[in-house]
Amino acid sequence: MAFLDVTNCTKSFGGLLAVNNASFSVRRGELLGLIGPNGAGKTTMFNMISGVYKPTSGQIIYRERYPIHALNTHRICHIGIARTYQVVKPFLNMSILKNVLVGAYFGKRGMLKKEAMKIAREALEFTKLWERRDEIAGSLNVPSRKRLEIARALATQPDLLLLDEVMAGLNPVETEKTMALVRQIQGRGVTIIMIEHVMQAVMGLSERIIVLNYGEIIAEGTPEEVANNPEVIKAYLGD
Amino acid sequence: MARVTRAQIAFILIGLFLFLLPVFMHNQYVIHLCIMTFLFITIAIGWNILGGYTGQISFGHASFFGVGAYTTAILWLRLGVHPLLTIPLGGLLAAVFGVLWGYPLLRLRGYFFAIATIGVGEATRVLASFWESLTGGSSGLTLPVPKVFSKVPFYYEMLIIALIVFIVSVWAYRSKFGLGLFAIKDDIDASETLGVNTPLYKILALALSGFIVGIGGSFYAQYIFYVEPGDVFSFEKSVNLILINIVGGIGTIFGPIFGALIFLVLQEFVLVLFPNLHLLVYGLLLVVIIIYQPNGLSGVISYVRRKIVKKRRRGGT
Repeated sequence: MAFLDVTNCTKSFGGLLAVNNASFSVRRGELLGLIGPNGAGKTTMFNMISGVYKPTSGQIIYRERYPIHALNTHRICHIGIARTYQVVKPFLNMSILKNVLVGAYFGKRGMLKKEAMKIAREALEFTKLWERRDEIAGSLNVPSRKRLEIARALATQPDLLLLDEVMAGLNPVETEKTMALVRQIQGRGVTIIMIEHVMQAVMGLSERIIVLNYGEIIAEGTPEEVANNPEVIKAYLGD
Repeated sequence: MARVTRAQIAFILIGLFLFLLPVFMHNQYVIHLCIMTFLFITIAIGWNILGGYTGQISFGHASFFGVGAYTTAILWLRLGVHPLLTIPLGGLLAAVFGVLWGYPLLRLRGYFFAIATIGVGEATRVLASFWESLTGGSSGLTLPVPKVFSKVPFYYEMLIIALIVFIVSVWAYRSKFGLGLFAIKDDIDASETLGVNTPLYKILALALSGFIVGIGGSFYAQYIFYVEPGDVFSFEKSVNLILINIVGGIGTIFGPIFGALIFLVLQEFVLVLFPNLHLLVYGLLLVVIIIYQPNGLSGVISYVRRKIVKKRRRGGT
């Protein structure tokens, strides 16, 4: 058994099969890339792992003992799984510090004020937002909001972090910076699954890549293997 | 740190002034106005904890007021319980009542929750009107008025309740509990993902909110000596709580206080001069505030304060 085991997971919305009988596992400490064309079911997969959706069938087991498919979203956060949203969801009316404090206070149980402040500060310094901590989150631009999304997820002290397109819409310099940030997070022992369309980032960072197309896993392997896989090329470029 | 202390000094001074007021103010009408102001501040704060902090807009909060009022009336009249003792019981029963309907209804989001609370409020009122054996029906219950009657004890009773409720609301605003509530208000999905137990926090907010409004209802019954479903359960009361908070500033600490002060001043003075015109004035005020300053009077005041601070800084250096 691995760190995270997804077994025969299916999610359907009415007649639409968003994810169809997907199985894969994640090793502790690895950085797994999840790619595929638009509508392939990547975000749906994340929603199932983070508990936002319940799988229609199949199971997801975390650290060999937690049945993710049967737990509440907040409970999944408490056992160490954090995520960012593709469409970022900052608490717009709160200060940046308070945004991150929510993660710090509620991520693990029984957090005291002093501890939570320390964790929030660390997450904000790590993402270079500490100087701007008193600004209202609504005043941030998109790249900063993406960093805030990461900072908030980190403040919950996750062991498994799901990054949903954190590079999208960033310029090359910002992309480089965010890539360095992701590497640093992995360096701290956090297992990461990332959905990414920016190929430079996903190929450069991932140790292993899983390719989804129409809800099914069509390829799995190292970045080189996946890039040369004819099925993958067909899915991206057509016949 | 210095500003916190200043706020605390201001709080203590205002508290002291209010405690001494009946010593030199013997006008019963003014005392009555003060009591009603304290009462409205209290129940508006109660509404604000669910509607303002947590973002769950309720149009049914009169039901808590009514449950509190009837708890006092029935316990006092039928079982001879001392009215003061019924105050915490009224709050508790209102809170339990809130948990009962909140458990199913808080799953609804946004407008759907708001609309469902109208149903709760109206259903409670109708139930109270028809359950004659318990509530005395639509003619209500009259409570024993004492032979010697002074408003001053009621003044202190309500003042202490209002002060405690205000302190609780400040605590809730600043604590981890409050942070969770404000997170739910801004984005419930993100809150869940960050580990906030949103169903639990929403129900706790509703229970606290109901408790506070229930206390208000309980006090009202023993002060007015008469309860009637059309009054304590009225839809108008629910709407007034919302209006007070909008005018004062939804989700702010001082919003319910400013809102209640304006509401009662308008009601008392404009009502006397031009009956029903107070509603027109209030409606106009509401429109202006929603358009120009969604944070109500609290928003206006903090805006002015920021301006002054800026000016001082520019002048000082």
